[in-house]
Amino acid sequence: MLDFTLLLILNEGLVFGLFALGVYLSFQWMKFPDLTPDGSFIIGPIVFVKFSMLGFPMFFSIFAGIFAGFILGSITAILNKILKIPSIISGLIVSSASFSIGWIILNKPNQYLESNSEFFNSSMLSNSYSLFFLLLVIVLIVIFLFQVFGKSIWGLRLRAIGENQFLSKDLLISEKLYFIVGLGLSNSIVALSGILFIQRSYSVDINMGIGQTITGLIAMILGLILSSKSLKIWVTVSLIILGAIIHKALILFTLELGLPAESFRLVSAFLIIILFFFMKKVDDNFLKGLRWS
Amino acid sequence: MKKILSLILILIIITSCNSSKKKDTFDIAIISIVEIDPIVQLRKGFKNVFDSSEFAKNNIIKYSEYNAQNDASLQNQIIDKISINKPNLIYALGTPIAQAVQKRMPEILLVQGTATDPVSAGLADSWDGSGKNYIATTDLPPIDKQIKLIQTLTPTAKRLGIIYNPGEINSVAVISRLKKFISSNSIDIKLVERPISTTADVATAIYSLVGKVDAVYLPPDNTAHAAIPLIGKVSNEYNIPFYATVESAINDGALATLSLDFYEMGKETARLALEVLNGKDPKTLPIRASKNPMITINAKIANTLNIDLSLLKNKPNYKIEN
Repeated sequence: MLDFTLLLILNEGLVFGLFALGVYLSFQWMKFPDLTPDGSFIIGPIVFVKFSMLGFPMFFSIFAGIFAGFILGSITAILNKILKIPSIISGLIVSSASFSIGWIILNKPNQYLESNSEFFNSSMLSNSYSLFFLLLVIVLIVIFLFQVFGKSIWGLRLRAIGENQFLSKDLLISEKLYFIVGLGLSNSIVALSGILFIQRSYSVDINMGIGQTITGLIAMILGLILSSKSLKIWVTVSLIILGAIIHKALILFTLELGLPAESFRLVSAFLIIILFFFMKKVDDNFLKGLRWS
Repeated sequence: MKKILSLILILIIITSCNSSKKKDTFDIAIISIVEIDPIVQLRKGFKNVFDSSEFAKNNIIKYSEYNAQNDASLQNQIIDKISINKPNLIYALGTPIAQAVQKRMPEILLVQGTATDPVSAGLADSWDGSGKNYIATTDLPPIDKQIKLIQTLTPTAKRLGIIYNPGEINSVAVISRLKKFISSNSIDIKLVERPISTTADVATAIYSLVGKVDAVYLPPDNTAHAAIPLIGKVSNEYNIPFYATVESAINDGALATLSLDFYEMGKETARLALEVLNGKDPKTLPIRASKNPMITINAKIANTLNIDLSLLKNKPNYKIEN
């Protein structure tokens, strides 16, 4: 039996660990400062809830939600690579547009979870356990996929183009296609984390995506610091998940301490400052790796 | 590896320092979704009644207040924290908070301060009784009185401009009721909608209404709330009557407000909660609405718009400010 507090932290941390992995894929592998996650974090669950309310089977609805995230990511890539809109702006356009899209799909800004969109229908405590094991399985699968994808020819090319986009000409591959698929994948992961997120908040609200990309970034940077010397993909990816858990534990700790909730953004801000300071100590070349900054 | 191990250790230490629950106290957790004036007033009114009640004499009431600052993840973690040390009563200010609390801690009495539409939010089974461990007051403004006020003061107003954030379920509920009321009573008023998504959009919205409308109406919208002085300034510049739903707007250029007193609403919510604590069944208590909304009129602005106020003087619930 896990301690209940730890269980709650792990649940929230694993959900945002997935989110951070989506951010990691776009920010680190593709070196693309993608702001779409704010949008795919709401569109994924909204599409999922809509489909399950229409009576589609659970698995189909989940897949539809993930696919919606994929589409959002690819739209950002198309805006950036084909219409030549700067990367940050394209992400902003898509994430703010998804606010309206979500509204149109739901026809209202907030929808509570009906029983056919809930994964587990039992009492609360066992719910937390079931969700934890489900999250653990999903996270392990995603870590495995990262490892496989990162070593595959597609993954290697994606990372190579991310490092130097002129490489695509030498490799005789379409840079556009790789970015469309890459950002699509990154936002699919974010959409999945959104679907898992609403299993804990019991409602989907179109305001819930605001500012979440920053949360993902904090977890990602934490993970990168912890794994500074490791070149193994699965180690880095697992440590990013751990980073998200640590971040969420810190926030719960500030709440437990009785600090006013108003101070929580300050805690996050200090955390980022301290993290960047550590990052310099650990590896001087590291900051150069974060070229989008 | 050492680093990771030490971090895990810190995690375990963090999680193991739970404060132990005290006996003989009545814990009330107050969770606000965002910090705006109506919510502050609701909290004040609620505490005021609770602290002076008979119940407070027999129990030590301990409040713990949380603010989710519109962050869905922080909201989840606040509810996590509360579910570890469960309070006796949860006062939720914000629909998403109430939805999560109700699902995760159905055994705890949930009191919501002004739910706009608890039935369509899935919180209550019906307006006459929630059927759940849930009680609430509603801030749904009386649309009929609102329209009547507009027709009394400015009978020539046929095009009504509305600024609201379609991302807020409360505003949407008001607007859809307004539309329904106008069409079902075949009232000769056309709505000109200007949706906004941030407070900064209000400037564009209000300027685009100039010349297209005979009056402006602002529903109780949390996003537009901060820009009321701007709406007041522009509408006075172009002599457009401006109707609002918060009383403070009267000093910011509104012609008239039909407002709910959120301090009173907070008190009413507390009284409702005390009824349950004194033995009533929360499942059968109806959702309570504000009985007497207050109408306030700015005489100065009425004067510049050539509106005759002599008939309205000395009417109950009417307040004319100079």
